[in-house]
Amino acid sequence: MFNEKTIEKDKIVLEELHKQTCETDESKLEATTAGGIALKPIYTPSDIDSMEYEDISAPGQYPYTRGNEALHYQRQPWVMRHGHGYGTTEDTRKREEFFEAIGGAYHVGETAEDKPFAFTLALDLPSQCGYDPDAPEALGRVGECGVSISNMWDLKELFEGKKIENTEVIFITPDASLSFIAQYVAYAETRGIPAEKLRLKSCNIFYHQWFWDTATFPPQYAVREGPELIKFLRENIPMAELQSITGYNPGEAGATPVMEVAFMLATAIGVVEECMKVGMKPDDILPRFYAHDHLSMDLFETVAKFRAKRRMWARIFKERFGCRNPASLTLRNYPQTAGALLPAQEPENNIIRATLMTLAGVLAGVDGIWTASYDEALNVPSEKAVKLALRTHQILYHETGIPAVTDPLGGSYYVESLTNRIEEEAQALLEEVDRRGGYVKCWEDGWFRRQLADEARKTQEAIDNGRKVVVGVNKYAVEKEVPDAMFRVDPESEKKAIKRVKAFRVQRDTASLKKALGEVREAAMAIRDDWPGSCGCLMPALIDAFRAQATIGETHGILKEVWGYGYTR
Amino acid sequence: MATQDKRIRVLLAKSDQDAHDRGVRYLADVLQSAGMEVIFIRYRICDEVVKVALQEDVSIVGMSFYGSGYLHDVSAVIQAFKKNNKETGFIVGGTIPKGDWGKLKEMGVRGIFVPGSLTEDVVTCITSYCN
Amino acid sequence: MKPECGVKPMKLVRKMLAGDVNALSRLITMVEDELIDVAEVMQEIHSRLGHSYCIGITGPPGVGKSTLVEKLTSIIRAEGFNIGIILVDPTSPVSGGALLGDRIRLQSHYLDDEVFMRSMASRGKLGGLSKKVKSVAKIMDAFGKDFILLETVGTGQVETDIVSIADTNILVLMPHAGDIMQAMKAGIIELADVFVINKADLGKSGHLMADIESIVSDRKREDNWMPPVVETQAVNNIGIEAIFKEIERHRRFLKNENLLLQSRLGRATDEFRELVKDEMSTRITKLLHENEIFRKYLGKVETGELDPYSAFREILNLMPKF
Repeated sequence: MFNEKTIEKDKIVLEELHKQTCETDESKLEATTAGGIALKPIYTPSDIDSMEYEDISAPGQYPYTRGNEALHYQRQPWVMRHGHGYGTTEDTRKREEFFEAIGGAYHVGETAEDKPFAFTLALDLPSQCGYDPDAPEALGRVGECGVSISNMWDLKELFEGKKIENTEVIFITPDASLSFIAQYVAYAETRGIPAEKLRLKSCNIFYHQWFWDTATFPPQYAVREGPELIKFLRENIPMAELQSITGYNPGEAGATPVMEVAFMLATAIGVVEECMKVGMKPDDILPRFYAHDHLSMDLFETVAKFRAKRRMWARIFKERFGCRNPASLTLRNYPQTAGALLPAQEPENNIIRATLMTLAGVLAGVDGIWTASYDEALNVPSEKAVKLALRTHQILYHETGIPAVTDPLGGSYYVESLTNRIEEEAQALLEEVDRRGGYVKCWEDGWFRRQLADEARKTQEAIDNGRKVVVGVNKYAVEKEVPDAMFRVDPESEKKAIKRVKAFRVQRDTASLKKALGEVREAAMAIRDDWPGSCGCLMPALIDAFRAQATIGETHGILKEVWGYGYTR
Repeated sequence: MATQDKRIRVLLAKSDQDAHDRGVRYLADVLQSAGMEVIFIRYRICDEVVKVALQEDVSIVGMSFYGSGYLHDVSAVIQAFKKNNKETGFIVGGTIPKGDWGKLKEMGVRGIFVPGSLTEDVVTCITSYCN
Repeated sequence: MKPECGVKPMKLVRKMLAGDVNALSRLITMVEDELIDVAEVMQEIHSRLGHSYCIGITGPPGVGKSTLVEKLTSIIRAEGFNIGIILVDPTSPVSGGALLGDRIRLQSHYLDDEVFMRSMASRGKLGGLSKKVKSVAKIMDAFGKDFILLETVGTGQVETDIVSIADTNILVLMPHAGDIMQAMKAGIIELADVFVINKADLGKSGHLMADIESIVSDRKREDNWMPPVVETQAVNNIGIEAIFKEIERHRRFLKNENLLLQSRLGRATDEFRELVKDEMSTRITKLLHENEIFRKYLGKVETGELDPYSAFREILNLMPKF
């Protein structure tokens, strides 16, 4: 990379530095990244001399280490993906409107008028898991931690009067995306809006059980949710994002950045292979895949992680899958600031933490960010905290000057070197996954889970014995007391949601509903027994069921019965 | 009669709708290292917790929650134990707002451990109940 | 504070015999914690024994035993029988604690009143464990369970003891894991009545199948039973009905050859021998520690005054006195 003279000079300087560092106490120099990669105190040209120019290249040039586009925030700022949701849809709509009123918009720097808007809907646990609010499993959990959505009237309350052609919607649910999206399509029809005009981000992290330990379908059937939804969205909703590849939840469960990269890539490879089995081509689907990653406190490691992942993504899909479409090779990233790193003690400290994590995302050139509210560990975000999370984006965008230059850290000896290290280690880990039979095998066997659990344990032990400092928690802690919640969901929400779903059920045409649910059952059985030939039959059946006024609990309940539901490990 | 074989048996339970189980799994490891027999389950509804606790005859039940369901579930399980004349020590962990601790203590919960608590405090709470 | 022996032991036994599930559970604890005179309990329940059929499921970790137990339970329940399940896990030799994790895969049966599940840790005393497991299985029998499923981790020595409790023993293996050699060392293969190859992507288990078949044909069993090999994918519910059919076939075989009664009586005889041996051993150990004459001889060996064999011969002469 550098000419000989430069390297010669560098060697001389390094010797001098070495003498100086020898005089320093060794332990002060033994640093690692949060993920465990050994760090040197100083990085110089020699650290990246072996690289070729092409490895770093320029933003917008393969392999996209420096970014997917040459001009990024200069042309289009990042998306503000703050999620909202609690209580009934009435409460959540109020919260969305509040967000808009204080300056929330789709892209930072814009105002809301006439531009697309994002509804990142955090669903409550029963909704996420496909239980109606009056199910015994839902008791005590309705409307807490997220919004309750089970029937068409909920959607009506949320979206009535809104221009939904302008609203990008994502329902955050691990394995019930098919039902939620089918319901949304049916709802849009009642508004006279055809599916092709809708903007959707598919969540559909059906593979979640190895990092997000809720009950789900057995792996063999869970994986079929991928191609089933992807096929439907491709053919019917051109503006839909087809599949989320998540690193956020593995990160929360303990994954190091290296693991996050390797396991995300393994997942993407697996999902694409499953789609190929039903006849789809990688170039047809990859352009609309997106990543949901983890932003954590080690700033430079986080930045390097995105760069390594972009480079690896481009190389894998070009070399291993033969993709030609540049859109297939450029992975868009919509990360989220780490919830696990925002403790309940001294919550205002989390404002600083969330800002630093958001900064890491911006420096890494991601496409959208969800900045957590500082009171996450205590409650559903209060309005005050939501406002601060929004202002974080606005201040970073308008007052720091960072967006004026693409990949400002590009060329840094440290960052490029760390990017290489992460890539090397992630590559080795990815090969290990391949050797073990791919991501489904590692998920079924519990290997992924053990890697995450081991790391989580190490981290917790390090916090317990003080090696890893968390300010205000295990060091400089002034009070052991944790503050009370700053915001409470109205306890009446559960009653309201239950009342509504019961009233909803009563006014339906039971004959047509029964028929439609029967067809959902048949489609589910076909997916179970006649795959891959049966791919494509479930989504239409689900939409019909919602046209006939089914509830989420009813459709998802059928899938649970037919495919089985629980734990493999 | 020799009783050196006694062990403290603990049931740790978390709803199968709840993600974020790294805390409770870490606790299971810690309790095992402290010489206890730990049974860890996920449950769809509270009745499962009651059934398992009775069959396994545990002395301690620990339930872990991520922000929702704790008031309903803890109350339901403790009531069921009373009906079955089962004496257990009850502890709760997870993201539980301080304002609700009083209600839980009134129900009979002996210890509440939110993120940031020391696992050794949990061990102490359990061993002091059992001795 | 927690009550220790709140209810008089025999009262508890009678409650259990009357069908009280909580009494069953407490009784098992008292056996595990050695808070009760097991011999007394066994006498009390003796007349109620002999109804249940015990199926042992063993195999190396990770092979899918718990999933198999879950699916097998569903099938047996569908036939209308009730079940007791004992899940055995190893105790950590370092901490003395245990993570009894097999339950989690049996969630679908938690609420079934006819299924009683109990997790037991080895508690570090390998020999002692099999005695306790036997007692627990007997208590479940007396309680009225039609079938008892006994799941153990297959790490070797422990298993050969416990495996002898079951009427039908199932050894679960999986392809590509090199388990068969390990299982051979432990002598478990000889005790297996049914082999299961789980996680069998049907067809790829050819090598393992061939290995098992050749071992089986080499070692001729006394009873002339030819252990079948069943391929399964427990997670996908494939092959489980076939396992149950083989269990039933083995049960009929044992009945027809009059072997069922024979082997149970054989086990009873072994148990009697063990009980006598254990009691004698306990008494002698007590003597060695407490009796003055014994201690005198012990002291002489400790100081080198007498060699162990001379000391032993002198004591042997004194034995009838005791």
